[in-house]
Amino acid sequence: MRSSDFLEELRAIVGEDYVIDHREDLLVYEYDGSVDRSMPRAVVLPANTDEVSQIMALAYEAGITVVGRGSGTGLSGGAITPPDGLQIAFPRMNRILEVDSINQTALVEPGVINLDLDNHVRRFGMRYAPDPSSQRACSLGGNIAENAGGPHCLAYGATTNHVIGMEVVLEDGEIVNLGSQAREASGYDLRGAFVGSEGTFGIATKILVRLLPTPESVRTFLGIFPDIDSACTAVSAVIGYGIVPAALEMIDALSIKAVQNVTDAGYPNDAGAVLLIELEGLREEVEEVTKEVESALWDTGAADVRIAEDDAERERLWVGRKTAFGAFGTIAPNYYLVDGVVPRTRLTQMLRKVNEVSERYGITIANVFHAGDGNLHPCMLFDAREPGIMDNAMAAAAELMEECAALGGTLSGEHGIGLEKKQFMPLVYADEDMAAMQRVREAFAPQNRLNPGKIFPDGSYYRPAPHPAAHAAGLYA
Amino acid sequence: MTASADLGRDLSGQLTELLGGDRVVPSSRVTDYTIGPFAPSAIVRPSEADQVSALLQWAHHNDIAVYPAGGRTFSHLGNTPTRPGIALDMTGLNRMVDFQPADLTVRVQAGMTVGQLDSELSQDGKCVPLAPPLAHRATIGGTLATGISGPMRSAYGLPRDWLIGVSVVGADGTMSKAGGQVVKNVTGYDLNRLYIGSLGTLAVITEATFKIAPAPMAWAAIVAAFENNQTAVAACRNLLSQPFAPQALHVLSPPAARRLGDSNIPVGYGPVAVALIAGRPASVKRRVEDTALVWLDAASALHIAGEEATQLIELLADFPINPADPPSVCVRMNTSPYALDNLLAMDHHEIGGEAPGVVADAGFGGGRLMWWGDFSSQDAAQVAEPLRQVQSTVASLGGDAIVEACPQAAKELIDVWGPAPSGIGIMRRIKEQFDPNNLLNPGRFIGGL
Repeated sequence: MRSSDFLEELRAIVGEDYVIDHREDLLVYEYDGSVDRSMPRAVVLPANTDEVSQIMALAYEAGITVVGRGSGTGLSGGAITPPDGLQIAFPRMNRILEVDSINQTALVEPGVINLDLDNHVRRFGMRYAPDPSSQRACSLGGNIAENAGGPHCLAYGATTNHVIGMEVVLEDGEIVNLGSQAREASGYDLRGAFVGSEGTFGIATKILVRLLPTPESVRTFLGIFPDIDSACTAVSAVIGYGIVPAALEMIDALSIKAVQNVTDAGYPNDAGAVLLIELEGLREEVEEVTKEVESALWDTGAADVRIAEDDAERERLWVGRKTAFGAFGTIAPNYYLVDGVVPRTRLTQMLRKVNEVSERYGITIANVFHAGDGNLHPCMLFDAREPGIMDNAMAAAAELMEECAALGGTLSGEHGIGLEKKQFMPLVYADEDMAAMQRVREAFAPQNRLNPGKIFPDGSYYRPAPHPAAHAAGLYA
Repeated sequence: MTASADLGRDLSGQLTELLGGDRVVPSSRVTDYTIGPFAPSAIVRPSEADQVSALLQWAHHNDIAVYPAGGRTFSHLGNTPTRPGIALDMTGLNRMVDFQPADLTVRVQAGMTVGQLDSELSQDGKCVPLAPPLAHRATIGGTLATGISGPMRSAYGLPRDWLIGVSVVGADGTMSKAGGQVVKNVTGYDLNRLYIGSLGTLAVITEATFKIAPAPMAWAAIVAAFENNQTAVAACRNLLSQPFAPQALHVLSPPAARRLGDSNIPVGYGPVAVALIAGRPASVKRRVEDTALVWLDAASALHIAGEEATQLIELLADFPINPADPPSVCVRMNTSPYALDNLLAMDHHEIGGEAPGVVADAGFGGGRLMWWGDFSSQDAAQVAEPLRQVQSTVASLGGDAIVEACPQAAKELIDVWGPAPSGIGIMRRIKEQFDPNNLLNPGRFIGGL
C-alpha cells in the first residue's frame, strides 16, 4: 500500500482531524522523556476501541509498525517510533467510565491521566495507589506498558498489583479481554504478562483498576542526615525494624539544592541527605510506628527529624520530591537517568560506586530515589552540546548498571528497558531467560509489529540522539 | 487409562541410570500419585534442579509426558490427563537457598512446604502470607502452580503479589529464570505471573524468591450470625466501608458453618460472617472493638483471640480439602465483591437433592460451593448439569467458576475450568511456544491445554 493511501484509509477510520502527518505537527511526537528522538511517519488519535481495532488491522495488512504513546513521559524510549512507523496516541480516549465503590474499582480509558483518576476517586473515599512522580502528566495506558511505580509502591506495589482486567487490541486488530471483573481468573495470567510488556503485546483500550480506601491517618516525616551513608543506614534500620512504610524516599545534597532553587520544599540546604518517609493506616498503628521510625532515625545519626504539622506542609514536602527532576534544569540542561535496583542492604555500597563513577567520569550525578525498595535513580546532569559528553554519560551509566547487577540487583525498577537499556539485558538474563520472554511475545504478537526493537539486545549498540527539548520534556521521573 | 500405561520400555531402569536408584520411587507407591483414574508409569523424586533438567531432557527426547507433583494436596485439580507419563515428585528439592531478613527477601527450592517456610521465617518475626490449604503439606511450587491463595488474601494479596523471582525447567529440559532478588523490577517481561496458576503446563518451577513481610504480632476474629443473607450482606458492606475494616471477611451459609468444624462458629441461626483481624496489638484491639460496635445488631457476635483465631483461619484455609471432612464436590468461584449476595443465593444448585454450603470472601470477592454427599452412584449427567449451571451463572456475573473436585464420571462431561475465556487463543499459542510437544501436564488445564 502506498503511504498516501494508507493515510487516507486512516483518515477514513478516525476522521480528517485525527491523523497527523505534517512535519511541524509531528515534532512533539518524536520524543518522550528519554534522551532520544525519531519522527514517526504519522500519528493517529482514535476515539474508541473499535477505531483502535480498525487502525491495527489496517497497519497489520500494510505491514506497518505501530507504537503506542501515552503522555510521552517515559524515560526508556518506549514511545520512540521508527521513521516508517505509525504512532497511536490516546488524548481522545481519556474518560473515567465507571467508579464502583462496592467493588472498589474504576474502569478507565488508556488516556486518563494518573493523577486525574486519583483526584476523581478521592471524592468517594478511595485512592489509586501507584503514583509515579510524573503522575500529573502520565497516562494509565503508559503506566500499564511500563508497569509504572512511584513512591507509594513500597507498601502498595506497582501498577501490576492494581490492574484487575483489561480490554486490549492485538497487532492484527483482534479485541481480547484479559483478566476479568474478578481479581482472579481462570487460565494463564495474561493480564499479569501484559502489564510491563512495553507496548509489544497489544494496546490496552479499557482498564479496570483496583482502588484502595483512603487511610484514616497519614504521617509524613523528614529525616535530615549529615551524609548519604548515614541516611542509607537509617533506611536499613527502618526496614530492619520490620517496618514497611507507605513511602521511603531519599534526596541527596545536590538534589536538595536543585529543589530549593525552584521551590521551598522545606528541605534544609546544609543537609547531606534527607529521607522523606510516609506512614499510613489506622491512627493507633501510625502512632506506634511513628515512635519506632523516629528512634530508628535518631539512632542512625539523624541531625533532625521533622514531622509535617498539617496537610499543607505534607504537600510541600512531596512537591519537593516530585519536582526534583524538573529542578535539575537549574543545574544542567540535560539529564540521563539510571533506574537500577539493588537489594536494600546494598544501598550504601551502590551509592559509593555512584560517587566514584561521578568523580572518575567528571559527570555530576544527583540522587533522588525510592530508597525503601532499593530503586536508585542516579541522575547524570550535563550539557549535551559538550562534545563527547553523551558517550561519557552512557559509559558511566553502563558501569552503574553493571554494579547493580553485580550486587544482585537489576537494570530497571520502574521505567522499563525500552531502547536505552536493551544492550544491558545480558547483565541480568541469560539467553535462555530472554528466549522464554520472547516466546510470550510470539504468542501475543507473532508478527512482532508492536514497538519492535525494544527490550531485547539486537546486536546494535544503542547511542541516544539527545535533543534540545530533553530538559523541557524531562520534568518528571 | 485405569492402570499404569506401558510406555514400552524399561522405564525404571532408564530412570535409575539417569538419576540414580535412590531417585526412583518404588512402583508400590503409585497410588499416592494417581490423578483421578490416571496412574503414572513411573515416579521420580529428584533432589536438585539439574536432575529435573536431565529428566525433562530425557522425557523430551523420548516423547514422554511428565506430571509434576508437590505435596499432592490439590492433585485432583484440573481435567483428566490425556497421555501416559511419569510423575515428577518435587518434594526432594526442599532447601532454603537464601534468607535475607534485612532485605526482606527469601529464596527457597520449590519442593519446600509452605509450613516449613512459615516456621523458618516466623523465628525472625517475618512471613510470606501465602496460607494455602494444608500448608504443612503444600509445597511452594505446588502453591504457585495452582495459584491457590488463603483466607487473608483480601489484605495480603495473592501468591503473585509476593513472588519476585523464579527458576524453572522448560519442557525440553532448558533451565531459565525470571524476575530476580529485588522487590521492584520491570526488567523484561513479567514471567513470574505467567507461571503462577499455570498448573505446571508451561515449565516446572524449581526455585522461588519472595519478598517477605513482618509477621502480624496479634490475631483476632469476630464471628457473628445474621438472620438472613440480606442482613449479613448489609453488615459486611457496612464493615468493609469503614477505615477499621478487618483484613478479611468471609460469610458462611448455615451448612458451611456447620461443616467448618470450629466450635466457636454459631450454628443453627442464619449465615455466619467471620471477620479476620491481624496486625499490631493496638490496631487489632481497635478493629475488634469498632467491628463489635457496627455489628451490635447481629443475632450473636463472638470475639476470638490469639491461637483460637489462627486456628479458625487455618480451618478456613483447609476447608476445601479438609482431610477430616472433605467435600466430594467443590467449586471455586471468582467474582467481584459485588456478587456477594448472588454467591450466597447459589445454594439452590442442588446435587442429588443436597444443597451446597457456601463460603464467600466478602472483601476480595468470590468463594466456594461445597457438597459433601456421596455421589458415586449418581448419574454423572445429574452431577455435571448443576456444575455447568454454576459455571454459567458465575460467567453471567463477570467471573468464572472452577470445579476443583467432583466425581470422575462427571469430570469427563465438563471442562472443570469453565468456558474458554476471551484470551484462549493467546493461551493456546503460549502453550505451543513453551511446550510444543504437549509433555507437561497434558490435557489438564483450561481448554485441554
